[in-house]
Amino acid sequence: MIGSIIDGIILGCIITLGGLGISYIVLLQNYFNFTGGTFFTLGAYIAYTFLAIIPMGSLPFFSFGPGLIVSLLISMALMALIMTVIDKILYQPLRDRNSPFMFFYLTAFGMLFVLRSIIYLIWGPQLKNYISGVRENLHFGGINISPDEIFVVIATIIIVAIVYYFQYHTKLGKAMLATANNPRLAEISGIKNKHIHTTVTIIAGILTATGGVFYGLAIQLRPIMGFTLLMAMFFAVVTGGDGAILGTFGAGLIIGITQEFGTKVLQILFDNVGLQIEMSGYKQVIAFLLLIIILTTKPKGIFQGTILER
Amino acid sequence: MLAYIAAIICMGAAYSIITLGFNLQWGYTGLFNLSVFGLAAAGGYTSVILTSQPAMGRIGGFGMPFIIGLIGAAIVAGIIGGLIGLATLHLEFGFFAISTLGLGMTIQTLLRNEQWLSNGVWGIGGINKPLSGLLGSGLSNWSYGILALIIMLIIYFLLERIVKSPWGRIQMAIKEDENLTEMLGKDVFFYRIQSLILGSMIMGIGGAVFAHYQGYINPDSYTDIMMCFLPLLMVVAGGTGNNKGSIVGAFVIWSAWSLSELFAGYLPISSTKIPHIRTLVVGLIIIAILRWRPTGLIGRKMAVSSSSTSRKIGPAQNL
Repeated sequence: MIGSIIDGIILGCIITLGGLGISYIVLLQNYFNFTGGTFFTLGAYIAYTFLAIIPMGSLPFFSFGPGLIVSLLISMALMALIMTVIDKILYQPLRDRNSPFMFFYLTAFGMLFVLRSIIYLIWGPQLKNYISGVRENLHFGGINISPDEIFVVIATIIIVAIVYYFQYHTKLGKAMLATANNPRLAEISGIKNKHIHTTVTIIAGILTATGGVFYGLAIQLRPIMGFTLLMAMFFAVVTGGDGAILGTFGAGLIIGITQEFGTKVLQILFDNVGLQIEMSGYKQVIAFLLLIIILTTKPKGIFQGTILER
Repeated sequence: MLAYIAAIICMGAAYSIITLGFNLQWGYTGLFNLSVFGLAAAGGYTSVILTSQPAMGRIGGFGMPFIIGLIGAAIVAGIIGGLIGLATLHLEFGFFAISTLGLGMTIQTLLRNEQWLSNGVWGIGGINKPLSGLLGSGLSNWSYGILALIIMLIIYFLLERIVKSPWGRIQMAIKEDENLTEMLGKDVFFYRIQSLILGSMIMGIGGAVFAHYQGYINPDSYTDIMMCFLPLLMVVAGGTGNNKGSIVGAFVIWSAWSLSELFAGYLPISSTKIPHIRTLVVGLIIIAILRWRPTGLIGRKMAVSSSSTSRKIGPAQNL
């Protein structure tokens, strides 16, 4: 039981990173990027490709070596580049034309399938792992946790802290908030909106790639792994509120723990009642139901207003 | 060759019906409903459960006639569409889009996991094809194709009447300028949910027509690529808010899609990669149309509010 809570925390960290990537785009450009989940997958697969070239090496405590860290950094850079190029080619003209939101959603939806088919074409439908072989788990009185999973959690906390510091304590981050709040006023006070959009896309790319690589490290690589997490990421974004970093982190942990621990509890409940429902297949349905509940009760998010007024 | 044409007619008619429903929601009212695959699957499974013969291990086998199956499909799909509308339609545009995508994924998961309902991934086979014996056993696709075309034409003429009525003009006005319509005293939410339910019912019927042509369905018959992405391209290519364009788009795109399957055999690519290449091409076409020709190949002019000033402020651009 406690093991599934830990699984939930790890999943929650991964969802947070993917969700923050989407959240930044919602904050600045006001549309939910469907492609977010697929970018997440692409980032993980790019790191996988580079891991085949770069020797893994070894680290004392973890089952991965410095090669994975290098691949992660390359994947971050490439994803930032890919997302910026796509943003400049596809979304910048839409923003310039002042197009309705429908265009953004349609383009994102088309992009989802384009990227998914590219992933299938290059890497195929098989499951993949960064690390072959059995990992050693640490035991803390009945709880199994691998050092890699501890790394994922700690790294996520550090990344969230860096992003938080960047957004609220640097000039560029404050300029970003100003642009999100009122683009015209920000433009008048000397902030270049185009530069802000580029910065945000780069940050989103870095966060998304990190989330994907962490998913591959903690679980495994699948071509539709990002798409199945998409509802959970949207839940984190909506519940966290627009661009509220700590809010998104909290909501990500909530949905991660609900998906892992909640399904276990419900499974035991249904088994006792006598209903024959296999709950492990319904993880994304739970995320969807929670999303609907949040949308009908608190569409502005629970954490809204604590950090950013809009 | 003739059999091939009959197959294209059957599938084209089924896709036309789905596309007409999608076009009503998107082209006229401006609802970006991404649960097309879920609604079509709900319709298809309902019709199959109502009309098929009894089988072990799942509900169904009521042996009802085809028409009852269609009505059941429409009712179930309409109820599902109405529920998601009640939950999210009063919110922003984006929340509706993401929750409908989630609804489609949920219906897929449900059909995959609940064996008593849908027989899981093994699917349901032996679905009867109505009128299959009418023109002799060799021409069963032709007689079914004619039936599907008749259903499609009935829906088309009904829709043409509806969208030319005051109700349809209000829908177009909502799409072009929501605030203006609200100011004229129309209940925007009420009109939107009506359009959503009607469109969902039509999608359900389309899914049912598809299922009865296929003869065997499983959750993979209604994947998001085949049943959401392709109708999207059909609407975009045919021009949104244009019923004739939707039908033409559906037939042209489906012919191209199935012909590409024939020619793909000659290409030096392994057969497992072909579906992904087709998806890639379709996605690039959609993005290219949006980028360079946003009104679609056969566009529709602004019908209700033709003022050019509203273009700069709100969501009043034509698509």
